[in-house]
Amino acid sequence: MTNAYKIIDHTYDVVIVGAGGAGLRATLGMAAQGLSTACITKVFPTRSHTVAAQGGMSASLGNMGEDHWNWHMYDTIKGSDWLGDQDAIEYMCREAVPAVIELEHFGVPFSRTEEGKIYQRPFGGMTTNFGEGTAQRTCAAADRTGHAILHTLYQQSLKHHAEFYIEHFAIDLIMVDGECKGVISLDLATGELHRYQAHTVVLATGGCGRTYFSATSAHTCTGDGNAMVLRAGLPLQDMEFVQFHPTGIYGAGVLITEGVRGEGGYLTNNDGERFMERYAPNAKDLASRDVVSRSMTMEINGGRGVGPDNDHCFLNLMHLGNDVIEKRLPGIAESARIFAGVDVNKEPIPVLPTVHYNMGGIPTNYHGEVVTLKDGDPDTVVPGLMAIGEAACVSVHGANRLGSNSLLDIVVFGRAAALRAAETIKPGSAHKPLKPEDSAPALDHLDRIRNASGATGTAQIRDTMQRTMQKHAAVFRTGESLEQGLEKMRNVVDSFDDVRVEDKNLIWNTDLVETLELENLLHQAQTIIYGANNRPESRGAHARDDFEDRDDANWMKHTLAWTDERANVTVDYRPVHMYTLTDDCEVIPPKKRVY
Amino acid sequence: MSNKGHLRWRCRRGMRELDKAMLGYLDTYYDDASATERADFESLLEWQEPELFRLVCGKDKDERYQYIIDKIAHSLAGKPSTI
Repeated sequence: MTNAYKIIDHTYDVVIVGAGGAGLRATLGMAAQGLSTACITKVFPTRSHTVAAQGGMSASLGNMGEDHWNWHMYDTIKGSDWLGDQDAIEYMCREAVPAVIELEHFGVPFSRTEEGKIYQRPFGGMTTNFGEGTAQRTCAAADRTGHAILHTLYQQSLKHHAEFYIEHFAIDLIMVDGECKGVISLDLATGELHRYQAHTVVLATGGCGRTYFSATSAHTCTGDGNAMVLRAGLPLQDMEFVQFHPTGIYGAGVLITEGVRGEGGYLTNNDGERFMERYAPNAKDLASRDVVSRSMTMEINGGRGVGPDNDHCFLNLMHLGNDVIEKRLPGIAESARIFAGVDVNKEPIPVLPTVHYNMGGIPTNYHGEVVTLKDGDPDTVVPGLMAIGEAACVSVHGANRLGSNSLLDIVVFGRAAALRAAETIKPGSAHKPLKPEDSAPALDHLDRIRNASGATGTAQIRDTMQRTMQKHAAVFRTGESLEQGLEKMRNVVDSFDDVRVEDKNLIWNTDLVETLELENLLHQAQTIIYGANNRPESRGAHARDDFEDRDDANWMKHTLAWTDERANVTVDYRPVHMYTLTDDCEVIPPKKRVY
Repeated sequence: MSNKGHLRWRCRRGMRELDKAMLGYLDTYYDDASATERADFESLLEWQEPELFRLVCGKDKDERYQYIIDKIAHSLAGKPSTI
């Protein structure tokens, strides 16, 4: 059967899968270092989900007042609820400054102060002097920061002769004796398969928000790289940590950026009370996302939600005035009008915590190299494989990511991966020939899904998975609810045996691609809900009603989760790096995380 | 771009808002649309996300596309909680 596919072979020094901000930053960096570089992407680069990031990226430039990377590091570690690796966090916060300046030089049109410096705004969880004041640390290009970054990096990548394979869906990695040797993709337009041999494959495939029913993620966020890693027999890390954005528009999932609260917007309950003052007396509405999401959920569960069903909250902007809204928060008024039917100058926006970001992903070191637990060594590098961006778990976000640290993450670690590749790969060095059997697992995988001839539609199984995850693995979690969820998810996974791909054609077969994506999502969903049930503590975004406290003695460790062919999960652990990269800063010891 | 699968794939956008908007139109109106309207919709799919978003939200106006934007708004209003 596999002989039926036409395969086109390529060799490159490096192949990047994904053309969001992380993938493009790595592509640019690697091409600029003289490595022959290909980037495979399922959607056009400027339509990657990075385009939706409007808020900005953090860096302690100090343009609006005193700032220091040490303070940024403290905020990030505290935000991570002490699950972040402190060496990697030091690296990210230090490299933030040159990474932003580089972006400026590449041509990203950052918003300016009157003196012509990069304008920086406050963002949740970002403080000065180790939690004392509010930092203005977030750089933005008006409301189109993500688009500006994608556009600029794509142009720069082309300038450096990187080659793009656009509207190609990556099927699987080519693994030989535990080393990654390349990747196979399906050209959606021609139905032809492409086999890329590379010294290093970089997965920059984003998160898997589509495992849940209510998510701010675009349809394309199916975590394909994460699933390829699982199929390669490697683990994902900390998948139980899923961030909910506090302010998704009720009923639509559409995001209202945290910048709204940075500029003075605030949340209220059914009594019109600014309830965040009770939960976070200092930071109030600018507390970190998990704190705000949980506070909102507690108001709703306590019967103080707004609306006919008391099941959401209000976000108020009316007092800001049209000028501030237009100038600092363009796009918000329109989003609210179209997706919530609300005039923000006159009425509050109905909002609800909505899945927004996966802290977990493919475990890597701060160079972007994929690591795994092997023969007792938790930092064993997987040769030939890197991961960056939301797909990766470095881990700089730990149990909870701070707003504006994700655009930073993609740029810093996209750049770090390129620097590492330049050190370790000699441009144009020879490849050992692949054997036909090296590609067989990927081809068999495609064949199996393509010929699936059961009775259940892909959309139906996906819907059941999303509703199950939403009900059993969302903001509030208990052992009882998670156990029920695990049972239901088992049935959902089993129902995939009966999936039907209507059309066997390979050209623009969205049914086939969505079924491949669904399989990817199912394996990731399993690692999320299993990990959540397995972790009897509350830490960051993972809040257990039955284990309300953080348990540093037993659970200050990363979960590693493997899946087998039936999506059964097994777990093991890696230690959190409680050490810094240099002597320029000290380890931040764990303490209670209050805002 | 007459292949429906191709069109459906191009309705995959970088933003959830635009996924909803463009797929909403494709599923509700495209099949019954005139050749001109289909061509206009396909041309809209080539737009960059921020510009397309401004158009869908009514922040920018473009006479050529307004009748499609109106239909998109209608499909969004009719299905507030689909994903």
